[in-house]
Amino acid sequence: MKTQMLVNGTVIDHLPEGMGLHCLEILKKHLQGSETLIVFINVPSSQQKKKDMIKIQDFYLDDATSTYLSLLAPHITINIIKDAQVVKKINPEIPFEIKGTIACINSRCISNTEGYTPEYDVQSKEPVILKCKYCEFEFTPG
Amino acid sequence: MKKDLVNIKDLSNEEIMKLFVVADEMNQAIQNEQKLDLCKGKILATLFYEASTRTRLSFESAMFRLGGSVLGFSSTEGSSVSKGESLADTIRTVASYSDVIAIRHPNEGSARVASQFSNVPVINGGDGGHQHPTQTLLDLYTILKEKGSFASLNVLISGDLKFGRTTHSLAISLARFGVKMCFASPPGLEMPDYIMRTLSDEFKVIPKVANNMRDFIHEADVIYVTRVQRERLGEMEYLKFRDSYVVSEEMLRSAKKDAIVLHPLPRVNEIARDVDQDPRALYFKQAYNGVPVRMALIATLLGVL
Repeated sequence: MKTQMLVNGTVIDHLPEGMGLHCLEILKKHLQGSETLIVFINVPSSQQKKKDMIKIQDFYLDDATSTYLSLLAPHITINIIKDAQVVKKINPEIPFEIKGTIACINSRCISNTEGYTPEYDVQSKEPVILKCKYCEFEFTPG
Repeated sequence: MKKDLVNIKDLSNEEIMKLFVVADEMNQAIQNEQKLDLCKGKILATLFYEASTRTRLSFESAMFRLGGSVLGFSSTEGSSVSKGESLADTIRTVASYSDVIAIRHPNEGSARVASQFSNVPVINGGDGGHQHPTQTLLDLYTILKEKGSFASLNVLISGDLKFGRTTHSLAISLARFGVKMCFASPPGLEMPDYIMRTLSDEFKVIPKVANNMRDFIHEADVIYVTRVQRERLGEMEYLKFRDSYVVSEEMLRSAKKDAIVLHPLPRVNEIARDVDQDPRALYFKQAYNGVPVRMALIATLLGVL
């Protein structure tokens, strides 16, 4: 399948099958709305059998969003493209501790009710399990 | 550096046992009607955003018996919380009026936030359905006083284990002391996964689990009963669970002769009134123990011993 070549921007690769549109939802709040982007769904892959992928022209992910995406899809690769060349390939590392980025799923947690910055210990990286430092609830981001 | 009690894990087993030695001395002082002045000139702030009888009053009684003073509120009405003041701002202010803060709050993790914004020690008097570490201290103290040691005990923890915060801190501390446990709760009110995982991963303890306490009552040395936490359930859900378990004299016939029945109180209907006459029913003695144990805790955190 031929698609328009990305000259400058970001390719989010190796998203698990079905994650492309979900990932786009997450990215929406960071986008201006004027970027050219393509979401690939069910792309044949030697590693994953099928994968999703997103290409966004003139857009670069910040570290917090990269971490967030890695929590949802631990094996993603983020390629930074400049002048049609891959200048940087990032495999976001899931840290042992996370601050901000994602809301606690426990609606009774004080971080939700009074807006304190959520903090987590990463209990497991595969599958990703976060433990809220306030209420100790454990959950897999999704 | 100030020390808080937000989570029962904030105290090591050794620190807990040291507290109990002090609690014995405090108990002796109460029994001897001895006037203490260990906390003379010190102020305890009790910030109770949720209803309480025993926790708040025993904290206040403890501070008075230590010769200190108390200020605070027992509901958010009449305080600036009702005007929308944040927990952080309330804590910053109250910390400047007091030497130690005891807080109860409906949101899980609130005591941790309080400890972050306070420059005086913070004691968690119950944060939502999360933890109630001082209740656990008096539960452990009562068990130790009545049974002599934690060795070879089998503790049945029953009732609303999902929202019953006292059961969460108790299960963790009992596991840390190597005590065998079994959990009985109606379907839907089981012990949360994160507690079960903590027990197995950190302490290698895997309690037996059932939906009916009759399955375990004959083998338990301690029968710990909790009420359905109405305030954390919808009314329909509460009605579904309300009568789902009741400890009665008939049920206790199959319990060990030297078993003890504990309850953090308040009791609603989960322990029948006729059980009160049973010498194994120790929940009011347990409630009394809240005073010497909290005296020991306050004095320790204030460094006045």
